[in-house]
Amino acid sequence: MIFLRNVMRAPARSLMTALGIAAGVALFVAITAITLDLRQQIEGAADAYKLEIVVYERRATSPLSSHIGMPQMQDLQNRYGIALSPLVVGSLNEKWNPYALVVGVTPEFLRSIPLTGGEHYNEGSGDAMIGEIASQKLAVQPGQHVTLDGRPVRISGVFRSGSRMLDGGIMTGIAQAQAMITREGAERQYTMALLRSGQGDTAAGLISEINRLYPSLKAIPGTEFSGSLRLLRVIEAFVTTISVVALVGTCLVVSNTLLMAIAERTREIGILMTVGWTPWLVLRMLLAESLVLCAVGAVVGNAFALILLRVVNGMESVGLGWIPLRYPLALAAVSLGMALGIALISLLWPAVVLYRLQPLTALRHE
Amino acid sequence: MNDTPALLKVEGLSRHHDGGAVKALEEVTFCAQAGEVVALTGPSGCGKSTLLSLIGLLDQPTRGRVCVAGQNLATVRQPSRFRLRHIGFVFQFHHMVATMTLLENVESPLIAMGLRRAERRARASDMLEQMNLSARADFLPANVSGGERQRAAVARALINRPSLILADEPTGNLDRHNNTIVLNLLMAHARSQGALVLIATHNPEIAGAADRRIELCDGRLVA
Repeated sequence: MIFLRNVMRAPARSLMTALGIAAGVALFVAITAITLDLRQQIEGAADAYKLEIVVYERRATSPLSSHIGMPQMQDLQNRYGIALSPLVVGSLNEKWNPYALVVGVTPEFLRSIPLTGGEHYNEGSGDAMIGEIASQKLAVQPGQHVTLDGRPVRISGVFRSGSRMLDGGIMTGIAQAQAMITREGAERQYTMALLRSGQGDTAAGLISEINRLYPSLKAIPGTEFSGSLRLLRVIEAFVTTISVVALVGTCLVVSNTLLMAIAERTREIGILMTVGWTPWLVLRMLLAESLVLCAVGAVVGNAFALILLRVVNGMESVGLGWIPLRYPLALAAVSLGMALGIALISLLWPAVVLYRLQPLTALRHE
Repeated sequence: MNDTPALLKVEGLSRHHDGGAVKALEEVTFCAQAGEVVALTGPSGCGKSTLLSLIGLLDQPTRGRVCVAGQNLATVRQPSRFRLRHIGFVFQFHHMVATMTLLENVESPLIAMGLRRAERRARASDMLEQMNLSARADFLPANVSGGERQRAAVARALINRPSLILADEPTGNLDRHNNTIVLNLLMAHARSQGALVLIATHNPEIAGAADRRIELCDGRLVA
């Protein structure tokens, strides 16, 4: 294996190059995994609760930052009855989770939430249910208390929502949630409302109706919920930018290594050209070396990414369940494909150098 | 000289550098037939290597022309392909690829020819056996002696059965024993394959053993 011997000709440099590729791949994989997971969790929760129509404040940048006043929500409830479920969503900065999601739901909605332990709380009792991840982190069992917003709250049950972000938080009654996340003296508000179409109504018809009757509100299909989260779009744009920077940086690292290899082996390349090798044949040899370095970099990079996710997941400052510990195999495959793409792109400059190289000049190279 | 058409024709060949300030080669004309061993002699810097480079399509002349096997080299579009088919090179410092074994070095022209691995290996092994290097086939060049490296370089030059061998001081770096071996190998190839061997040398023994001698001085043909 000539190309392996060539890779091992300067082992320290090859190692550094492979680690450089690994760093780029790890960065790409880790941040993509986090973003994908965030989207999947939101979409997973939307699927789990069969979000058909989401109603939120039109001027809000996303449903989660929306505020709907009590009178308007009352008006909506009068019009649509139990088909409408008001929702209060906020977060608390607790010692055990700096982004503890608090979700306030109606009794009707409460019944659709599956439990892994205990029971649903009684409306008006002031009790709450804790997510499975938070329950494990705090070692809290049904019947015990946790401190929320400085007040002890009794836990009636443990729920599993299908979304780790939700499972790291609390679910309670609307009034209780409003009390927890509304500043003192401020008007209590709802975040959004979920609406189900009934007999004689279609989702499209209801969406059209709400958008017509309530100019200050916006109704969207549940399938568009994650897409309407501006924060998610900003994160995805950020991830794309970082990925491109990592890709370009990694290409430069590999290109530099290949150019150094050409510089060091100029005379040998001259010999090969003298005995009949075309620049393309020499380039193929370099391509094999580049592919080896990039493939090794991709494998190590994926290992780094898994370690990175584990480290970030364990950080106190990160919300419970916000960082995934693993990622889909497809992402690993994409990262491998990306690394192989880097191997090809990195050859562009070395190829120009090779095609310009004259055998005689190469043979005389010192 | 015999009546067979010249394998190599050099006509009015000149090579100038720095806009004509340096005349490495000036109006060199000669012919050589297949099967000949021609010694190219002259002091250092007289233009021997320049002449070999021009004949081997490694450089382009300022004036004049070179024909190999009836083809004017100025019309060759793919020099590497032409070298592969017609020309074998042997250099003074053996010029092996450090990360290739002797066997891989010897088979490298066959890779360029696109031969299958098995055939390449068989031919390269056979050539190494002829050079008495079978035991060293899997050694890297750094792990064999200078004489063995030069024999392997000769094997590499002969592997594609070229009609023209260009040897630039092939024994300049060898002891007397290896000197004789390498020279005999080149001459035997010329005789058996009907190839033209053009050897640039300072060595009077090689010059004496050659069929013909061409002498250069200051870039001009003097004998």
